[in-house]
Amino acid sequence: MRNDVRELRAGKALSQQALGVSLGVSRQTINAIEQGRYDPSLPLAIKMARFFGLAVEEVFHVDGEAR
Amino acid sequence: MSTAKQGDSNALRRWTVPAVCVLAAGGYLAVFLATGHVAAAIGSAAIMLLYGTILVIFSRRSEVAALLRDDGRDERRAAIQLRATAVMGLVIGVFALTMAFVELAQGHGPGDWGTICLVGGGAFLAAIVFFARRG
Repeated sequence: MRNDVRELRAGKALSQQALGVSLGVSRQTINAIEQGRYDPSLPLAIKMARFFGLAVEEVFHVDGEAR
Repeated sequence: MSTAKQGDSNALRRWTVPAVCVLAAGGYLAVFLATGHVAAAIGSAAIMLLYGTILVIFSRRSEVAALLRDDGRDERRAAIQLRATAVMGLVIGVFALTMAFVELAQGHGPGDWGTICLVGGGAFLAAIVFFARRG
C-alpha cells in the first residue's frame, strides 16, 4: 500500500522522530510506513490521517489505485 | 488507559528484561556455586549481566536491542515480537519432533523430546481454540 506520509510530514517540517512521538510510535515505525515496508493498523492509519487533517484514503492508497 | 498509567507501564516494561538478566545471573551464580562449579558460576553470571548491560546501553540506538529489551513498544514492534516468537516456537517444535523420531528410529522411546512435543502440541491446540473463540 502506497502512502503520502513522507510528503505530508515534510510539509509540516517534522522529523520522523517528532511524528513518531506525536503518534505514539517509534521513529523506525514511521520510517517503515513511509518506505511501504509496513502497513499500519486501521487505528494508527486513522490517527495519522487525523494528524494531517485528512481522510485515511487521502493518505493511504491501495496499490494500482489512482490517486 | 491514561497517559500517566501508560508511561508507568512502559517504564516497567523497559526494565523487565534487564531485571530478568540480573535475576538469571543471581540464579546461575547460586546454582553453580552450590554444586561447586565456581568458573561456570562466574562465567554464566557475567554473560547474563553483560547481555543486560548491552541491551540497556544500545536500546536507544539500535532497534534490535530495543526489541530484545522490549523498549518503546508500538504495534509494528509488537508484530515483530509476535512473528519472532512464532518462528522460535516453530524451530523448537520441528527440532523436538525430529529428535523424537531419531530416538524412535534408534529403538528407544521418544523420551524428553516426546514430552516437549506433547506440551508444545497441546499448547498450540489450546491457543488455537482460545483465540478462535475470542475472535
